[in-house]
Amino acid sequence: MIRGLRNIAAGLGFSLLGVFGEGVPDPHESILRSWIEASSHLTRFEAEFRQTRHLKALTQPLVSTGRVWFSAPDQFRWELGDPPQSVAVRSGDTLLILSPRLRRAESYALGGNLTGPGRDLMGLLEGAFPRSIEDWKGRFEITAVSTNQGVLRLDLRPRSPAARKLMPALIVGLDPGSLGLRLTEMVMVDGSRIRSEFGTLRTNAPISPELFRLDVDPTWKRIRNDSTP
Amino acid sequence: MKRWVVPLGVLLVVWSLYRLRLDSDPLSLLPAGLPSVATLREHQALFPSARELLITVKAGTPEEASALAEGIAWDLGRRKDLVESTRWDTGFRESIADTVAWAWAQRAPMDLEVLEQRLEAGRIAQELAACRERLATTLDPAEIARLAYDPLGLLDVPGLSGMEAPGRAQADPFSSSDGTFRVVSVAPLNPSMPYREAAVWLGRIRGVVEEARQRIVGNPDGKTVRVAFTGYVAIMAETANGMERDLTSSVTLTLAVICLLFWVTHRSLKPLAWLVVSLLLTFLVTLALGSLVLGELNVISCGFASVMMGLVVDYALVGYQEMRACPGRSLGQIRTAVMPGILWSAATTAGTFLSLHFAGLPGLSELGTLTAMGLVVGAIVTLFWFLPRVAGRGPARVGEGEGLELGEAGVPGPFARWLAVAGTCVLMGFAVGVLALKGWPRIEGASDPLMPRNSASQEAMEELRSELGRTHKTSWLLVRGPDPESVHARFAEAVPGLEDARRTGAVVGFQLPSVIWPLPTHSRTNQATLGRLGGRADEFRSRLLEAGYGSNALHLADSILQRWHRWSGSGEGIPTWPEGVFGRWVAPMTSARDRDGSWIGRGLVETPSNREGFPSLSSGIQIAGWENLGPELLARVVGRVRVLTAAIAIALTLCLWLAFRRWTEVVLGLGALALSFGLLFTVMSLTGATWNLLNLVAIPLILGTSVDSTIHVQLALRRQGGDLRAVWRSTGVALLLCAGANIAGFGSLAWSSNAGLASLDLVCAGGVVCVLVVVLLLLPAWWLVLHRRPKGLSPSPGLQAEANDLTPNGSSGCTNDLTPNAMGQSPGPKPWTMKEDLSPDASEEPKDLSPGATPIPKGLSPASKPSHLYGVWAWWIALQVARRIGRRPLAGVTRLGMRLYMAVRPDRLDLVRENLRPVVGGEASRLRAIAKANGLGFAEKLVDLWRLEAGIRSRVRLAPEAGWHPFREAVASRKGVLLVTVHLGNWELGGPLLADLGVRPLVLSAAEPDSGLTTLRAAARAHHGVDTLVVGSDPFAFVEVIRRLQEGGVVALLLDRPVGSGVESRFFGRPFMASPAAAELARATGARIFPMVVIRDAEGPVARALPEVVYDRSNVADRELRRTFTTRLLATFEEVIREHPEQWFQFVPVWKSGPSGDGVSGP
Repeated sequence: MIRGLRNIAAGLGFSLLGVFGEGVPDPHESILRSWIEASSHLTRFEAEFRQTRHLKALTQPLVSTGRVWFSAPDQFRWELGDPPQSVAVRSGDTLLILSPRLRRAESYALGGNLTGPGRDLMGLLEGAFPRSIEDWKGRFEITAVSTNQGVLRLDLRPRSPAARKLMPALIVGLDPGSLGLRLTEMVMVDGSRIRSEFGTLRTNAPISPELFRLDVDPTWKRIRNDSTP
Repeated sequence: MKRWVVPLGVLLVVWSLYRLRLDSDPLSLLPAGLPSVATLREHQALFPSARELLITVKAGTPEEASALAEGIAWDLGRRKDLVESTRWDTGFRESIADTVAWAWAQRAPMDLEVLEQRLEAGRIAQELAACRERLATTLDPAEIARLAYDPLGLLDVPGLSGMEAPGRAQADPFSSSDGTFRVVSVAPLNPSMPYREAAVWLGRIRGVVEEARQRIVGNPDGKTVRVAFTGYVAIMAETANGMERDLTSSVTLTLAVICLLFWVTHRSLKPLAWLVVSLLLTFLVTLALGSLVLGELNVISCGFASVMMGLVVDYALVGYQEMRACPGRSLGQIRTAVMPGILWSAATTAGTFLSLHFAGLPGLSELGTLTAMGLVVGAIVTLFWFLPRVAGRGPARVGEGEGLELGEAGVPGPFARWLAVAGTCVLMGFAVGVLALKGWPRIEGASDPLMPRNSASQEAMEELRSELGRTHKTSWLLVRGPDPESVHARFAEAVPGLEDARRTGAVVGFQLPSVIWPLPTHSRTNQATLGRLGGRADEFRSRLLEAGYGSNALHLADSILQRWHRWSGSGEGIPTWPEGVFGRWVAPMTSARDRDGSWIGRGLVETPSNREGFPSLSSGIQIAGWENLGPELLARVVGRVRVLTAAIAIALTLCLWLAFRRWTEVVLGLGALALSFGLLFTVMSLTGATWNLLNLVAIPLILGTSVDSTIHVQLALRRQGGDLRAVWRSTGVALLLCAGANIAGFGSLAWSSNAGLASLDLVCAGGVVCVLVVVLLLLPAWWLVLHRRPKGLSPSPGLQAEANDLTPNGSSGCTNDLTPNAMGQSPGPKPWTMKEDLSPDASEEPKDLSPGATPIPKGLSPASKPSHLYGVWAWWIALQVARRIGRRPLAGVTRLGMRLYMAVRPDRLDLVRENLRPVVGGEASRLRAIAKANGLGFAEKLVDLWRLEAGIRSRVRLAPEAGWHPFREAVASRKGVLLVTVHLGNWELGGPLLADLGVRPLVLSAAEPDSGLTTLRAAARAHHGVDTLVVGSDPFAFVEVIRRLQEGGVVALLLDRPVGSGVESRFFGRPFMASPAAAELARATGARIFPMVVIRDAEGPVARALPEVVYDRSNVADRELRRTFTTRLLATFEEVIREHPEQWFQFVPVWKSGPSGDGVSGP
């Protein structure tokens, strides 16, 4: 029964699911290559962002702020809320999602079949921070490229039918000059949108390793999701 | 009586076949007593989903797959003539309010109190604010969805997440994760339909599905959309129909090969037609009997047909081949010759198959019973239906004994024999070496062999499992209880054990329906709380709108609250299961009610694919699944196989003993069997073949074939006196034909759609080849080695006579082959050890007169085997009885026994009639009456004989004939007296009578079937002053006879036993094979010869001394003169035999060219 609930939930919140697909249309090949080329030089990334959630169930959007840190190849930290209400930390093959208010920590072992928020978060990262053109092309295709208000907008579509079923589109906004990330917008199947606009970007600046530590307060409830088939 | 017996039988068969039902459930093949099988059966019976058809749809896009699945479900759902219901999703989304409202009602009352507190008027604003904040910051998309559409947190039912198997992604049972693969489940209108009906039903379903596909997808070539059928109905229909097709084709091919080989060998159409009709008749009668005895038959059990046919054809061909090899014989003679072999073979093989009852597998047991019945029916049909119809058809056409180093009379030379023995050693060494290195063939316990291979439905099932992410083995967990609460408690008890199993790796995951399980006690208690909450619906609505939620967010809460309000106010109460589509789906998926009203809950357990068996759980929790049956079945089968093997070995030894009555032949039979199996195991080991649930059937089959062939070959060796050429012509060709047919028939199933059947038939074909090699190539050589003649002695003339009899132009009609024993009268091996058969050699020299000069090995006796009753124990018991009860009751019982014997062996009476025809004339009614009187007279004779040997002398009167005086005179002169007699009356009573007259006679006797009996009978004679000389075993015995006569002694012998090695005389004007011993002894000693008989008249036994046969020694100087002299001796008995034909006890064919007497030829 909970599966049904999760399906509905996933229909709204499922983000960038990495699955397989076919080739990329030629007209956008050069932009994609340039974007990946620019991303490959990005070894460290730090930004503040403002997230706006236009949910169909609410009459007004929900706005929150947060910060993100990224260190190649496999470390990042994502904080949402001020003070942070949700924190995601990846280091190596482990992803930790913390809910300070609930005093709860969920850990995920990467490399297996990720489920739930861990999978969604990883999908978003893989969509927005491409590292390999072949890998990226296997998961997404560019349906449209446009420029609006000084932002290079890429309309992406997940190649996997399952991913499309939950999130039909993903929009990535890039700086036209540096091709750095400016915004992401996930379009959900019920029409809800989650838009994250990045500001105060710092690239390749030193980041404290403390931010990527996976320490959890022993008094918190810890949930392990490390079973892989 | 016969007029109505046949139509009645036909009616019975037709009626039985009409009511015959075939069961195609693979579970019927497995032992019901096995816990996992019992659980599977229970699961199958109680849960309708276990018998559903699953239609899978694979499309390029989720939309296409979804549209087609929905279309198929819709179209089929309208076909109420075919389908009970269809489903293509769980219906949870449509029924979420129904389900959640119901789920809260089943929770503990304390949970409802917590909910009510959380939704108190003073706290609700705070709750909604927290919810908005969480909505803005959570990273979990599932949480976003839940909080957006369920701001009151009504979806947060305590424990609901327990539905999830730990560590396993939840899969939609109707859809793959990408949505391009969909499943439609179809509940048939008649879920218990038989497999043939299922195939028709499936065909109609396919038609509806195809129409839907054409309409919705519009792609006739179907490249982008693939529809497949699986589930119980599809797999069962495909498996059972495939098996039926395979078995039918196997039987047809076997029949075709039989026909072809028969035609190539015999070129005779009518016998071939009768053979086919006999086999079909056997099949139908057996099927009818099976229907009567067993009721419903499993379709796999019908595989008995090919097994049975392969064995029964042996009987028919052995009988026919015997007939062809000996064209002069009558039907009765042929039947008498082959009946022991066929009946013993049928009994032994049937016993072997019946022993399958102990294998612990009902499928095998049923197949064994059917085959056993088929073998008995086949033996009867062969003897009493087939043989009468092919008797006397066409000229003999016999094969040659090429390929063997055959000496005179087809007996192989020493080199060939030892070559075969050396070959045996090499084969045994090879087998031992291979088995030591590679091990014995493994036994697979898995149920896979019951499933089809290259099966569309099985492939569809594999695809379904793969698409839905079911990569592990799935088993069902069943929990039973008197009410829902107790079942729920049992589920709770199971959890710790399952968690432990998960930690140890025995279980990958599990799903228990605890959270959606009805708890009526909770429902009743919670009704008031739910009613209060439902009554606050308007308040909640206004609070949500105030908090910024849109109407979308209110829908779910409204629906749930409405239901709570309705349940509390309307009096209808809370339903047992959720209302709506999901409730209708989940209730039969997770629960069932038994006939006694108890509740059964169903959970699901996933075990690693590389791990066998079930985790152990607390008692009262049943767990079962097809994929995990293996270890339990294996343990069961292996345990039983050991016991079964021992039981079969004992039973076989007993049966072989009863068939052969000689340990050497029993040992040879067992040796052949062991080597056949050894070779089969070796071949299996070399090829990597394994035993499984189906090919285990091959064991009794090969045992049966081996025993069958062993009995046929060894009895043929006996009948043919070790003449391999004759054995090859009569039995070898038949066995080769049968084996060829079997191999072809079984081989054809190697490509069967069913893996188990294919392996069964490969093993069977291989086993038959191994048996054939051992029985036809090695066994005769072993037999000859164990029964070989002493060095330097020429082959027995008897053997030569045997060989001559078997030649195509032989005019004697193989009479030696047919020499049965006279019902205990003289049942010893004949003719070589017959007491009267003193001169098998045609030599002119006296020293050659002794049969000991050419000692005849016991095993080479061409006589048929003795009556089973004629053994030391039976004889001893008869003597004990005779000693203790009076003559009258003993005679009554014996006469009754004789009447029964004549009823079951009418061929014996036929034979007696034919023997008596030249004596009493051809009037049928008179012949019949005298033959019956003869049988009853023989009973009287037995009684007198038992009483005599038990020490009770009957008074024997001396007839006032003139012969007594010369006899006394001759005895007194001490010049040697030869008393000759025939099988008339009770000649044994004459011995004590002579002793009373002061004479101590020497009776020449044959060795009895066993040495104990010989000793027993000799001792009885000695008790009455009669000496016994057993001829046949001692090469110097005949010298003793001559010495005794030369010393003036009295020697008694019988004249009238017709044997192949006798001298051809004339008796009652007909050619007659008589013993030349009297003439030979007369020539050697000049003894005086007195014919004498002891007959029974109204007053009891009376001894008659017939006139002395006076002769001159020159009248017996050469062979021709001795032949004439023998005829003269015989002629002295003609009158007294005519007077008492009912006492001339001849139960073997006595007339040289057959009992009919019509074909008399020769001098």
